[in-house]
Order: sequence, then structure tokens, then C-alpha cells
Amino acid sequence: MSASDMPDELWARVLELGAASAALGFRDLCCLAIASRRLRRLSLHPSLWFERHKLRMAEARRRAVYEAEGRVVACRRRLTELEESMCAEGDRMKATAQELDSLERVRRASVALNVWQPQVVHGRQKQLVQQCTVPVDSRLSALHMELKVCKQQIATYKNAYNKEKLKLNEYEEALRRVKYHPMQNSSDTSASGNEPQAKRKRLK
Amino acid sequence: MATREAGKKMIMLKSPDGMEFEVEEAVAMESQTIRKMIEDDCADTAILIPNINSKILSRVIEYCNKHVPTTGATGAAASDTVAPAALAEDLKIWDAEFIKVNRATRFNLIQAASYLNIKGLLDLTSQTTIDTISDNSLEEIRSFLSTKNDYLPEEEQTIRRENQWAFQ
Repeated sequence: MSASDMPDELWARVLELGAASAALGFRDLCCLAIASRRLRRLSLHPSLWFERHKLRMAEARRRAVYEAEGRVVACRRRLTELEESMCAEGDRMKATAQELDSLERVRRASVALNVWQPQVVHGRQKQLVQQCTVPVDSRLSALHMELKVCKQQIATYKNAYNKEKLKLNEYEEALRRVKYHPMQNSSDTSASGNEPQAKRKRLK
Repeated sequence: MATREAGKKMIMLKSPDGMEFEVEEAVAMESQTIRKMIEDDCADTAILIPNINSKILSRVIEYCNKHVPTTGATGAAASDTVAPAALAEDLKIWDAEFIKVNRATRFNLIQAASYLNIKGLLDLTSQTTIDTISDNSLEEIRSFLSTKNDYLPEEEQTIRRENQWAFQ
């Protein structure tokens, strides 16, 4: 007996098994279609392609879930980065403000030196001015400048942070939608809702 | 010779070319078709298997003998001590060796497995056939399936164009 003696339904079963186990690729099916009329009829059976289509769709969906998760994770990471740089900038601003404060005192002391003061006060102010080694005026303007820069920087970060936060909401919503499962949704809020979720995690 | 041991019923399987095979009932019942016959009391001791010749039938029985569940079978006491995983591995190796037959025999086996409804054997033979088809050239597939190109030349052009997308 040869292949041509085999009844159609047996061939259909063989091909279906191949399609289900993904051993028979679409190229193989197309090759069969070119081979002869009978093989064309068998290899173009919708169920063979439908199975393949389902496999591909499931794969695409898994990829979509991965991508959505990746986007959420990246977004969260960017948010923490922004928070950290905002913190650093805040620290810098605080340090600048402190320095500005002490310099301001020196400046005031040096101005006060020009008028008459009791000996004790005069002595302390003189000491304060002498201890300061930096040129007060230029340093002061530089510090003012820096403070302004810091404020601007923080505003920029805040802006970016808010934008990122919006994006995160959007991504999380997308992830929720892509992970939506009609059979597992009803028990989402109850205590037993943990179980299917754990299962879903294991499936990945 | 009819019954070697008590509790082990023997069944006679007859092929259309006059050969008779005596097998244990459990072995014969690997085939769902025969199982149905036995359960429905359509068979007493001898069953005629039409359209499967003795050569193929003997191969099928060989397969069933190997694949009959070892649990409860007194003859397979030795293999009971082996771990199930190792047993399955052994069986796989045996299957691979078993299916090394020529093309015609394989197609006969597919048909026999389908008729006798032996899922394991049908899957094994089908899978082997698929493996032969997959990743082969058009000419190899044609020769393997011994089909002729029965398209008219212009028809073949259309078919080829239709399936062009898969080979780009």
C-alpha cells in the first residue's frame, strides 16, 4: 500500500496531529498544496490553519503581556530615578541656602563695620569678616544663581515625574487589559482571588 | 495451549490470509475496536480482522504486547521494579526502533492502527510520517507520498503563485 491508497480522513488526522504539535510548519503545508490536487485539498483544510492561527495568536498575546510588563517596570524605574535626582537636587539646594545664609551674615557684618559699634560687637564682627576667605559679593551672586538653577531643575524633574506618573497609569491600565481573563475576573476582590492570580504567574 | 494460566484469557485473532494469532485478552484489548467487540460479547474466542494482512497484524500485536500496561500482568514482574520514568524511556527507544520500517509498511500500520483504534500506535506512525514530510523539498514529498503532479501547467502556475508567500 502507498500513501495514495490511504483514505482522506486518515490523512486529515495525520496532518491535524502535525499541525497541533507544530511539527508541520506552514511552509510544509504550502509545499503539500503544490504537490498535487489531492494533497492541496487536504493541506488547505481550514482546521489545520485555524489551529496554527490560534497558536500564533496565543504567542502574540504572551509577547504583548511581556511587553506591557516591561513598559510598566521601566516606567517605575524611571520614576524612582527621578525621585532620587529630585532628592539630590533638594539636598544641594539646602546646602546652597545654608551657605548663602552664612555669607549673608558676613556681608551684614562687613556693612556694620562701617558704623560705630560697641567694642565687643565690633570685635566679633571684624573676626567674622576676617575668617571669611572668599570674595563675598561675587560668591553671593553665584550662590543666588545656583539657587535659581536648583529651583528650575527641581521644577523640571517634577514636571517629568508627573508626566511619567501619567504614563505609568496608562501602562498599568494596558497591562491590566492585556492580562484580562474572563474566568478569573469575578473572584478578583475576594480572598480566593489570590489563587488564580498565583496560577497565572506560574503559567508565565 | 488455550490457557496457560488461570485468569489469562486468550483470544484468537485471524487475518484474512488465513493466519491465526493467539494473544492474551489484555494485549488484544489495547485495540479499542477489539475491546468493544469483547465487551459487547460479539467475540467468543476468535476474531477475524479484515483488511489487515498477517505481516502487519503480527507487527501490531508486537506493538500491543510491548505497550500492554504492566500493572497486574504477572509476566512483567521483572519490569515492575524499574522506575516508571526509565520504563517510559525504554518504551520510547523501543518505539523508535519499531517504526524503522519501509514506507508501505508504515502506511499499512497507520491504517491498521486507525481501524483497530490503537491511539498510541496511530500517534507514533502519524508522527513519523509528519517528520518525513516536514522540511522536505517538493520533489521529496512527491516521491515519498508517491503522488504525481496532476496539475495542468497553467493551473500549477496559479497554485505556485498562491503559495508564494510562504517561501519568501
